[in-house]
Amino acid sequence: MSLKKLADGLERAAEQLADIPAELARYEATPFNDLAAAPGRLGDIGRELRRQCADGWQNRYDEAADAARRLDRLAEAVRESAAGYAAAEEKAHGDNRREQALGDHPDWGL
Amino acid sequence: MDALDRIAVPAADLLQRVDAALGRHGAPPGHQVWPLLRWVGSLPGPAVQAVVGLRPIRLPGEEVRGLTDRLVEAASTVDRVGVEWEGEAGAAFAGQWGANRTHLIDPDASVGARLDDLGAYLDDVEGWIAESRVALAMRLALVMRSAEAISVVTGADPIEVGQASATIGALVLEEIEEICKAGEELRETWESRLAALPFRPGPDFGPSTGATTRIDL
Repeated sequence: MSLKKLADGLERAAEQLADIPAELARYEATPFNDLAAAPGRLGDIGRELRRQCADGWQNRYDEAADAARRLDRLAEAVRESAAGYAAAEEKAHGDNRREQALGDHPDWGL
Repeated sequence: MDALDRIAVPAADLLQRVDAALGRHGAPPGHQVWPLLRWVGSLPGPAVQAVVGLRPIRLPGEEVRGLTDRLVEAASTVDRVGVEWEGEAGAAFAGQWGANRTHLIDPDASVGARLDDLGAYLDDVEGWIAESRVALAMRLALVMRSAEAISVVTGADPIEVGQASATIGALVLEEIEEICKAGEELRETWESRLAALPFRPGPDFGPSTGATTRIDL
């Protein structure tokens, strides 16, 4: 397997993760809005639960989006490595071909 | 419409009378309604209305847990490539991918585990709302057929009405107290498992030392 395929795999994985925040946004429910407006301790609990619930959704949303971005960056780093290795190999082959080409020619008596 | 919705309408008149009597005459000194009024911070009527407004809904716990499969698929997508990459850069990649993989699907602390936790939290919220509504409906049914309810509605003696109102208020607020305590327990139970999960990067390998690299391009 090649580094290019690895980079492709990482990009596909990033795309799979990038769908999750939109799914979470579609499911998001906020059951405590009315309770948060209640008087006394019920209102205190309603506001705390509303904050906790919102944080729970937002944190999962952020984690999935961040994970997708990290895999994208990793894919890019792998592509750069692959390009660097390919350039180094190409240069080595080029040098070898030049040396062989020079070796095939007579030295013209110089 | 559930049991609480059905009983809340006929109970509203009784609770309004109870609130009015408590507001006008207070309650007998030392009555159990006093500490409950202080703890709940509300008269029985508004407290009951707040729980009536806490609607019984189906929350998407199962759907959220289902998203964990996407993380497993994403990790498998990379694992299946199975690249042979020896050398420092390969080791650095393996470290970084390992850290990302752990962050995605580790059974104890990962994005997947936190999605499972969010799903289970939503199940618990749904359960707390349903149980609170059933318990309050049963308590309202109890007070509506009590002798004190008859005294509040038909009584002419302010002392009798005040005593009966205090007793009904205490019975209702006792249930509200239980609902509040269960809500606080729900919040405390899930606080840490709903918090943000920091990413732990893989080991830092530092600059290259020029060791041998083997790679299939």
